[in-house]
Amino acid sequence: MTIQEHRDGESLVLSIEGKLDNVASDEFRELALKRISEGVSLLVVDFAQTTFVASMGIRALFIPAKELKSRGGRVVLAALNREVRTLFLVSGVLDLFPVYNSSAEALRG
Amino acid sequence: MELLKTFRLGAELAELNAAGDEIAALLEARGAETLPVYAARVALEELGTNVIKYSYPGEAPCWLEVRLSADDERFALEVEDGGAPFDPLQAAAPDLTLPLEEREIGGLGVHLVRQLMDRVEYRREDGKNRVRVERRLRE
Repeated sequence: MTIQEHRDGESLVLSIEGKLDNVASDEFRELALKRISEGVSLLVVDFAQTTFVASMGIRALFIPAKELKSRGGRVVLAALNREVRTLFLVSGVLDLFPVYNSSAEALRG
Repeated sequence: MELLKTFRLGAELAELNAAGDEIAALLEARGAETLPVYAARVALEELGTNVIKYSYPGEAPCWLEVRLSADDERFALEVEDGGAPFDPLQAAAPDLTLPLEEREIGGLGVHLVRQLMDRVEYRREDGKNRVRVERRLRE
């Protein structure tokens, strides 16, 4: 997995390329928490290039989301493919996060 | 069902990923659609991680064996380990109705496996834990 970052003021897009598996999830969570501590208030997680997400990857979304919520910010999801969408549907993730077709759309709000 | 491949793995999460790649390729060669292949990867990752985390709490060397079988319609993954008795299906289902800040995260992996697979079974046999999951290759 590699993570591409695009920062624009207090907005940050993290694009996950490859597998957000049980190994990569820690790396994602730590990066997200670090950027939140640096002042990011809108975190867009872009799944356009994501080939796999496991349960640890879902947990890695919850923790930054809780942190941002306590600071008045939010985490949103973008560009879900069918498999990732199915996984997020059955895990209840879709009830908890706003979902956009693309990160550009997410940034427009 | 025909046995396609047996994997014998150590306690490394990275080994699960490599096996997952190979299982995906074998299932694709059998004509599996994208979502069933994805489900197989999720099952391997979650069940394998459970074994590494829960079945070998002590110093014993950790191993797990994964068997992939298929016929024209279905595939099965069997994950076996020689660790302490552990039935992942007994893990409490997560409460998906709770708001984010009250969510407990335990049990989510097994919940995903149950949702994505047609059948999930656990047996304790011959001093081993055996979890078998089965799914259609196509919708």
